Amino acid sequence: MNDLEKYFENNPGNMINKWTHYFKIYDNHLSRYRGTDVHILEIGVRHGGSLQMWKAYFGPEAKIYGVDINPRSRELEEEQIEIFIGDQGDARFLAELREKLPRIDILLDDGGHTMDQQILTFEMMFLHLSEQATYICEDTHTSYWNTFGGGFRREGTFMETAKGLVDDLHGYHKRGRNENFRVTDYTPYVDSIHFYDSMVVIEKDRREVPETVRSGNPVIDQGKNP
Amino acid sequence: MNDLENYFANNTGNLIMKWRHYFKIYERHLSRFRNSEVNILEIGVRDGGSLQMWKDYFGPNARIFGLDINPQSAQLRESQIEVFIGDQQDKTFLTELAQRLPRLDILIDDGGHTMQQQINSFDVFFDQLSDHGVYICEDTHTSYWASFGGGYRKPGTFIEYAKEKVDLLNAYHNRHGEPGFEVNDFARSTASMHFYDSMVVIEKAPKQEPELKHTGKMRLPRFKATRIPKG
Repeated sequence: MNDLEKYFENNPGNMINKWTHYFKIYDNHLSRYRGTDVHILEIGVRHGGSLQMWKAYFGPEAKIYGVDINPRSRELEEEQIEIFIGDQGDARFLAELREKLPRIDILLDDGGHTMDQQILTFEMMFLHLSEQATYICEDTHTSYWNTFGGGFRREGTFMETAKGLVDDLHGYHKRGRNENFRVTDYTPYVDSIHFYDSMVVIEKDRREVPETVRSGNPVIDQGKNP
Repeated sequence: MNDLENYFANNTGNLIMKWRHYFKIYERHLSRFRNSEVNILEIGVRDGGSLQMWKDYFGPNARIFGLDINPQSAQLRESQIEVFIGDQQDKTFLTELAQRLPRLDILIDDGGHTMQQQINSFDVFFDQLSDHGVYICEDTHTSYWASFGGGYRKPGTFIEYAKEKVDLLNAYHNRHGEPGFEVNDFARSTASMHFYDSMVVIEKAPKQEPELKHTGKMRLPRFKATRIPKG
């Protein structure tokens, strides 16, 4: 068990409701921020239990922000934890949130899980995050559920958007005339995209044009197979 | 610099050619196999420099296998390193090779980088990997290059093939009984898929039905959001 699993199993605080395989993924991607003055934003507060978990996990320097549509969520504010009330499907609210939170190192979208919410939140927040930030979208199986606007391989779902980002990731290798394949706004800022059951993790990093490198001694005649 | 970057920078062995950003990704996904009895197959040997790098990196209990189409590569055999000659697009050959090899923990496809080569190699070797194995396909930017059979969002490229596999990571949530989205061997044996510039990494781990669980105290009464979904 990692520290998050231990916290969850012995949860001394408010209710946390998560898929049990998430904790290992969190630890894999987020442990590098522990003990730093990390700024984390979680959309979807409910009983505030995971905000408390992040506080315990990241330590006393961390700033934990929550967003929820339920006005009563503000009752869950405490030291290190601040909560904003609003609708993640509302572009104006997200624009205001960017003003209020100039620095975000980790964003977890565990909000309403509908396609328009997940996609709008990604489109408005991702490039705003700090340079080596981590973006996590949770419960992405709703991309396959009609009631959330999803559908298997249906255009306009969060999963299809995330798959499209895989192409952006390769934008520096543009060849040929297809205008859709190019360096996009995302190409210089997306390091990698990680898919798990129900979860997509996107790691930011500043990227330049990639380069091939060589070292050592050539020993084989490559003939016509260079 | 990690150990692989160090090795590369000071390489006195055979020629290694890679993209600079690969070393960090290798370290991230492969370091857990160091100093274990790991079996690794790299397709695409060239001068054998990366096979020597893996030997150094994984330690004395590792067995390193290479596959190349150039018969001259056979002379690169040395202790811990074995090289096979053949065509990675030829499924019959690959299946025979898979039978001759012991359990594989890591497969790195740095071969010819055409769509059919990459897909055929995946089809044969992914199931052959051990339960917690790692499959790496390199230079996946060829999925966008016409001369390799690629094209932007063109069906049949390795990238599009991998994107289809991404859906299967979620197959346990197939509520509507969509055909092609059933829990299959891939869904039962794959933990995650990782996309980088020019590289796809697929990690295996036996999977069970995911479980939603809660702990701790309820603080707020039930709340039903009143927003009207757009569209």
